[in-house]
Amino acid sequence: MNKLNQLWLQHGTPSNLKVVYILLALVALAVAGGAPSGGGGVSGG
Amino acid sequence: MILALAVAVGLVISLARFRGRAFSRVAALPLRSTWLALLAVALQLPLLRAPAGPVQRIGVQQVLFLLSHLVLLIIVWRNRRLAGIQILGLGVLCNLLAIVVNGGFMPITPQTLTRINPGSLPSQWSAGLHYGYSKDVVVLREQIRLDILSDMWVIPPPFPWPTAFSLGDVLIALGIVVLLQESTATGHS
Repeated sequence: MNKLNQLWLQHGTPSNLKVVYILLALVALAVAGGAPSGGGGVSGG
Repeated sequence: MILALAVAVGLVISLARFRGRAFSRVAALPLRSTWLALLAVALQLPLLRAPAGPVQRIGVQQVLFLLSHLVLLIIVWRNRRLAGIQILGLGVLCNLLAIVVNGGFMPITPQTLTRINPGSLPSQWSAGLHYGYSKDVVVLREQIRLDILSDMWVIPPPFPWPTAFSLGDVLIALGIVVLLQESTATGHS
C-alpha cells in the first residue's frame, strides 16, 4: 500500500491525470462512434 | 472494442516520434466536451449488453443507441477545427447513415457472420436478428441499403479477435491516430 501511495505521489500529477482522461475519452469516442462486430460471442438464432 | 486499439496505435506512433514529450502533447490537445464521449458510451451500453434476439425486443436500447449519435455529433461539431476530428466525424456520419437507412442498426450479412464465426453456416443467421452484444442486425445481402457503409469488411482468423467492420470504422480509427499526431503539432514545444 505504501508503494502504491508513493507511485501515486510520484506519477499522479494533474498533467498525467489529464493525459489518462483524454485517452479514456478517445477510447470512449472510438467505442461509441464505431460499429465493428466481433466473432465468437454468440451463436446463430 | 477493437477500435480502442487505434488509441494505442496513435499513442505508440506519437511516442516513437516525440518520446518523453508525447504525453505532455496529448495533455495539450484542445478537445472540448470530452465527457460527452463517456455519456455516448453509457447510452449504448444497454444495446451492447443485449444478447442475440429479435430486434423488436430491444426497442428502448435502439432509441438510446440512436440518441448517443446525437451526442457524438455534438462532440464532433464542438471540436470540428481539429483535422483528426473531421476524419473521425466523417466516419461517425458514414456509420450513422448506414444505421439510419437500414432501420436503426448497423447491418451485417449472414455471409459476413460466417467469416467471423468459423464453423457457422449462413442459414444459422436469421434476418432480423440482433447480433448479440453488438450494434448489428442481420440483414440479407440483397436487402442491405448502402452496403458499402455496412459491416462488410472482415479481419478473419487467425487474427485473435475476428472482426467485421465498416468504412466508417476505418475513418474513425484513422481520425484518432491523426488526432494524436495533431496533438503533437498543437502542443507546447
